[in-house]
Amino acid sequence: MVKERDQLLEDLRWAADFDPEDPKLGLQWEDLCSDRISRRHFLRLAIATGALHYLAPLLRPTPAYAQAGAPGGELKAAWGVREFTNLDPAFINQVVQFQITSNVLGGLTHIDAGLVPRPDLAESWEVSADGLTWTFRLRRGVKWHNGDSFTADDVIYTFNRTRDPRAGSLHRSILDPFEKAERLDPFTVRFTLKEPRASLLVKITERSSGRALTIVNRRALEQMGREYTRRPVGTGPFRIAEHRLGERIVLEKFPDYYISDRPKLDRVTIFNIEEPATLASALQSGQVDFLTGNVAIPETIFDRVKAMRDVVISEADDPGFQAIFFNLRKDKQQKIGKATLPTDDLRVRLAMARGMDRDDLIRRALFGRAIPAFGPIPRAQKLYFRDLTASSPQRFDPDQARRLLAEAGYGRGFAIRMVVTPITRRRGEIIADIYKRTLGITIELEVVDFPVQVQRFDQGQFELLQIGSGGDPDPDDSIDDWFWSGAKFNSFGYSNSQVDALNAAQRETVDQAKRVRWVQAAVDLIARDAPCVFLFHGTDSVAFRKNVRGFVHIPALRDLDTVTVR
Amino acid sequence: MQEYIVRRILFALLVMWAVATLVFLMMRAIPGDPVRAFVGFEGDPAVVEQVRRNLGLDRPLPVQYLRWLAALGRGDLGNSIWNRQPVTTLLREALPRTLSLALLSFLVAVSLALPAGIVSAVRRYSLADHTLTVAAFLGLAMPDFWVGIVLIIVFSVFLQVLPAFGYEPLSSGLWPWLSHLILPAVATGTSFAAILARMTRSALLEVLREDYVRTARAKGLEERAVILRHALRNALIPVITVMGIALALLLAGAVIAENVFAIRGVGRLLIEAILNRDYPIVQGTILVIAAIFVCMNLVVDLLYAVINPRIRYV
Repeated sequence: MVKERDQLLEDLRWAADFDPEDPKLGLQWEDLCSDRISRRHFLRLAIATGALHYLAPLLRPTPAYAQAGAPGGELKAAWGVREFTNLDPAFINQVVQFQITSNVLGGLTHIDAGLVPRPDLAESWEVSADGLTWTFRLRRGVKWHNGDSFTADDVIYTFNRTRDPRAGSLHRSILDPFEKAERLDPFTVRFTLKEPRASLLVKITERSSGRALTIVNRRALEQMGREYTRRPVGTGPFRIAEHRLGERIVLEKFPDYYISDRPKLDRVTIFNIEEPATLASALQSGQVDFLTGNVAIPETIFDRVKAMRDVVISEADDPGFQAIFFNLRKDKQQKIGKATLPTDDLRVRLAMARGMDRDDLIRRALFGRAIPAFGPIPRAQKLYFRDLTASSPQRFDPDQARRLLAEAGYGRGFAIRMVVTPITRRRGEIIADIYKRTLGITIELEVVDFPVQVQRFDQGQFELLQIGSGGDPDPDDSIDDWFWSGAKFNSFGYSNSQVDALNAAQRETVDQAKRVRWVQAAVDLIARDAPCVFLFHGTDSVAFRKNVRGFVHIPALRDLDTVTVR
Repeated sequence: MQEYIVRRILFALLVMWAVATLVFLMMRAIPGDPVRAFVGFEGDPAVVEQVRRNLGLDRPLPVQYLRWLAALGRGDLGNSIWNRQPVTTLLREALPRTLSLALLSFLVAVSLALPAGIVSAVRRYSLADHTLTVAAFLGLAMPDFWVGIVLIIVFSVFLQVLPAFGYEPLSSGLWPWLSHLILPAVATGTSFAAILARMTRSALLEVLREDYVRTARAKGLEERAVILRHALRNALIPVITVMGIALALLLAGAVIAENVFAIRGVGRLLIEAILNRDYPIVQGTILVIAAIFVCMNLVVDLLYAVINPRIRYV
């Protein structure tokens, strides 16, 4: 009863937190057009239409900081990362890097807060009925930061550069389904595919995470060489005035940006501060007004930041998942010197999935800022996500878990090793503690540096390994990259022909409703086969002073073009 | 003396070559593939191999080694695997930061340590001596990073007189440069100050028992002159040795302050590069640090000769 009341209050608070000036009230058309409407959306409409008018002032958590103030001025921001290693899309290998380039470069499309693709450098597009031909009409009159005019040639150049092995783009295989790219006229581009791709607009042409086709400038690349990766020239709202690697980036308003009243700010200075305590102090001392971690605010300082006066925290679902992977490979003998592991038995894997008290893990390892995961699809992927807390084959049920373990002949538990990195070590210790207490399983941690972990995962040299995925706006990032037999990261030996078939179908369909069904069916199968124990989906968070306004929080991104500072 | 210097310099070059070779081999001996880590969760095996080829890391080790040495001869330390920038550029940016910080920490340490050590020695077992002893132990006991975090909270968050993080080059003005370095220099300098103060104290106590000190006092020299001119000069020999080592250690040891105060110096560059297995950066940085160490040693040895005419190498 109490829980129900709290949930209703929480929903009401959420519903009341919107910008009254926004014609859509902060909702997506998809939310309103679907056949079911969530309680939260219903409440928001009720508040907006005045039905719950008298409640709104009581519920509004902050004086609508989403409303932008006057333009101009400088925002000082701090990011909790060592350096923005590469800003040339071809070499971007971390979410934080495309958080920056999303403010500097352009793509054909750009996702909104609901992860739905919207026009960016393309004004409109058409896809043929068979899903093999995509025609993009490009925006006219777009200028590059170096004064060049943006045309179809830039799109073709970027396409060819990504595909050229000598250019060394990390995202070359993303374009494997493409047959060719053609310039039909200066403002029309046609892509011909070998097989359809449902994720094209979100995963490939997207300006931030879709790095294979984030448009780059040929002249600047040829002039600048390696320097382009420090200070890329783009078509975005801000241009990079200065970048001292590992220290600061200074972004300047690009006056010729195609949206005439953006960006609002004249300048943004972003500092790299890796040490969380210093990061918090920078905000507290007023040296910066905007703070984010390596994606989310570091857990260790979250409460300190939350307690600061005049500081607002914006939270969104982090599009990713974390899991403990089992080694299901056939060549274990030569890889780890053991031909078999207790976890080869499905009952043992399911027992571990069902014996994982995710709430406890989230409370202790993430200070409560995450939601339990029962599959790879994060809640941020609204269209595809389902709450599986009660129905998943991996749902928490310690009695059932112990029964399964006893059936498999491990009633007294067993010992197994898990690979973690110094950064995930603490989480690993908590996982080990939970398994020790609920199932009597002893997990010995192997702490290795990240490069070693990637190598061990890749080559199947592990018994258990804790790893996950981030910056996943599309189901392809969650399933196609991980869980079918030929998946890019499937080095753990999982293979299920039904999953393969469902994945191939969802990957290629142009029918949204069917895609949702197939994705969800695949998730159920994966959870049942338990190639891994799904742990949690993180919470993406940003903190800023109340004088910072108009920030639109796209999960995992930090677009600053709408932000103002007083 | 000249021949001695030439010999020392040749030996220094040999040491540096040995260090370079050792680091080259050690980095490749430890597990962790830089290319695989860099591609991370982005590319498939074909992409990994392509990147490896593009970087020349698919070649046999001797070939890689000789290429690296040849480039070294041209003053080219190669390019970072991770951020693709020339290592010389990265070092050019990092070195001034670390040198500024190390020098300032050194000044903090010396200006605290010498007076404290002298007072402690001259007024042995006085209240001042005991107080300074306790202070020295405290200085040693408090970890640098903790001191740094506390300093930030006091001076940046509460008093708001000094910046909490970052670096400004001298070219933007003396105060911006200095104000960013005061807190990290204090955080790094205090533990060295404690060591130096204890060293100065014991060295001076030993010297004060010497015959020539008694003679100087018997001649009726002022106590100040006895201590500063006669005793301290000899007492400083072991202290200078430690100072030399301290300054060199500060170059690498500043990494803790660099991390806490978000200053991208050599220490941070090196640690990051080791964690990422970024071979070219590790090789180039260690080479430069080795060169600095070797130079320091040379300078210290020459200083001996200046301070004490009896010390002459043959």
